[in-house]
Amino acid sequence: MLPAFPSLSRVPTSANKAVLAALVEQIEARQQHATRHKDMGPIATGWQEIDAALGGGVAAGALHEWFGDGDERTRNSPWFAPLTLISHVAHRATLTDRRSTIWVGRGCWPYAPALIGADESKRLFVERSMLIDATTLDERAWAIDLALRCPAIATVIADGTGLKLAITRRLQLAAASGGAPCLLVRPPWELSELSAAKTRWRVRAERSESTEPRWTIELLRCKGVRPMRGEGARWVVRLDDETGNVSLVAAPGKRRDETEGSAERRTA
Amino acid sequence: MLFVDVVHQKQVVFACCKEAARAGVCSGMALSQARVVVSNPRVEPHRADRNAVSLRSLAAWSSRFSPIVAVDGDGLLIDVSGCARSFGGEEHLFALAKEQYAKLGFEARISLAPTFGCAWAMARFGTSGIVPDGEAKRALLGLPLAALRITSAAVQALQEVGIERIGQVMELPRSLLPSRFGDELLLRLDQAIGNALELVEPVRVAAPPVVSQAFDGPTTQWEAIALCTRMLIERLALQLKERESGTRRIDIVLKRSDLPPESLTITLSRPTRDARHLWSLVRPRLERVNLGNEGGGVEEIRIGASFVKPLVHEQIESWSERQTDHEQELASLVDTLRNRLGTDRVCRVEVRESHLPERAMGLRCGLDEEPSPPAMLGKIDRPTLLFSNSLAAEVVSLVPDGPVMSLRWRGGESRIALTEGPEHIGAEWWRRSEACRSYFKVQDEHGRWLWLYRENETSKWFVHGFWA
Repeated sequence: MLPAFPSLSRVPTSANKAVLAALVEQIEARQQHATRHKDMGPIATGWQEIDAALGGGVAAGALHEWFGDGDERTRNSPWFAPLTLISHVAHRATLTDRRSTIWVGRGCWPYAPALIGADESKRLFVERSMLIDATTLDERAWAIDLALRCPAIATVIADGTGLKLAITRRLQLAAASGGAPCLLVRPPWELSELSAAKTRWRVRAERSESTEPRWTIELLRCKGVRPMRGEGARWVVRLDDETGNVSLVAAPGKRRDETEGSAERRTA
Repeated sequence: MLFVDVVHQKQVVFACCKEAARAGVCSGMALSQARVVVSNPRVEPHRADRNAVSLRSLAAWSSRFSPIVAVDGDGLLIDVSGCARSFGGEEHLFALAKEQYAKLGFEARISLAPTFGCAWAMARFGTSGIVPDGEAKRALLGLPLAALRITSAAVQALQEVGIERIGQVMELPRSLLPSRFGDELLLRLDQAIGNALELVEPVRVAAPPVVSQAFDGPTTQWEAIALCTRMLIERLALQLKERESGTRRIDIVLKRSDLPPESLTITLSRPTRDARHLWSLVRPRLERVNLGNEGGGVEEIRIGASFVKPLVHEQIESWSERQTDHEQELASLVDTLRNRLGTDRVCRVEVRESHLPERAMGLRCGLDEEPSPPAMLGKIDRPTLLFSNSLAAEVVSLVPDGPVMSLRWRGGESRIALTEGPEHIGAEWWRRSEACRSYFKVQDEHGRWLWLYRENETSKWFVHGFWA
């Protein structure tokens, strides 16, 4: 509600300017309020060291590529889409408001009963998910683009097989204008393809002695953040059989010391 | 068949079928009593709200006989004055009505009389039939007092002085009646014999909005057709706005001079009257239509809205201050996706209560209905991706149900480092044809976890999913 301003015609010009400036300020404040979702902060993954490396979490309004486990040299060889980690990030994005998650392409449709735990927020996350069966490359790119521009969407998860540089540019722009992150699942042999993604991740299975699956995550690229060399950009996560939560495993021995040391250096 | 209502915490028969009535059941009887009279009846709860809704839609249907149809308690009042001529006389109209209601499956008691009151009384207490003009008074003479539509208290008061029939009431001096039995009795009596006016509130049935535009001559010019369609959609949206409603489906018919008419149907996931949204859905479909050959073309465009649902007006705001739940935006996204990909390719996930892995997850295409509360299964150890068709595999293990040694699938072989299981998952008992399976969670040499199963009958192995 606007406060009553003195009639413009009767006040001197200098006062006019002050009134106008106050109005402009109010309008701008309101506009910012309306477009709040667009400049949403990064999505904290809950994995402290990774969040620290990314500067707060996975950036909203950007394209992120996740490369699955498999043979990097052979095209069309069997590979494993890293859906556990991606759904973890997508679930974190839905915690704040009632927005939906869109999954484009049958190749990245998750098995919902595995996602639902005893946690109410996970149930809501699955309930508000929409699965889209887009088969051809054109249909997929179109559907991702459309979904990214919709304000009702928290995250778009898509099968990114075969997307070319030009399309990733378009999707990056769409994500930036809509404000939601786009998480692309890509097969390992496309690591050599160029893309406009803000971050690139490689996920590989890690041997474990217990029955809980473990993965190594590598941050291959992160635009806008000081690059990390060597072991700094590599973490091990594990999936808890009981709760379905994914948590960071402290790397054993020397590696752990190094990551801690580097973390301290960064925070210092 | 019995319909049962609960009165004073007691189950009471509200209505019953003909056979039950013949056996001695009547409305108001206790259900336990009715069960003694009729062996093993089908019992359904009486739902007054549903009754009212279907009576209203029957009233809408009955507008074929007359434009004025009103719902009156448990019946319909149809004002056919002046309408009989178009049916070829009252006899024909009466026979037609009887026949058509029977066709719908209703056993209607119909009577046609000069006044509403008389028809009401004849249908319920008299003989079903036509009461000719001027005969209303005579027809009512022998009927019981309840046929006058007066309260039961008034009926009782009259019965106390020995008056049982309407004819006896008519013989009483008029001036005495209001003071002793209330104003209503006289009014109802006058209404029944036609001395007083009776007003009814007719059920108004709004025909679904239709807009159309005919061209001067057939045209194949896409721009002209697109512009015209757009204008028609705007007109339709305006009509919907006036009714404070939105549509769930629009049908566009293009009448072509040299080809059969083309019809496009657009369904929406929730009611809308947003012309821009509708046009964005119509446009891609319109572009693909064959507009006709040289010399022919589109002659007329007609757009109709069906499934019109109420949609309240919204205040126009420059900057919305309230936290929206984005339902409208999500609905228009889903509409656009469905319009191109097809309805069945945009769905919601549904977790079902089934222990069979492939049945525990289902897809649901509707957006507007409330999601069924998903089964709270608790966390069970299931893979993150399940193949829609499990892949055949070859497995080497030393002992049956023991640790798996190696696995060959999708053309590659891998050694298995860890095995967990078996978890036996049996078929659902109502589907006996399916085999029981033994599931194993195995880790290969690279650390990837797979979900294998063996069909116990055939001893064949399959990979069903993985953790990744």
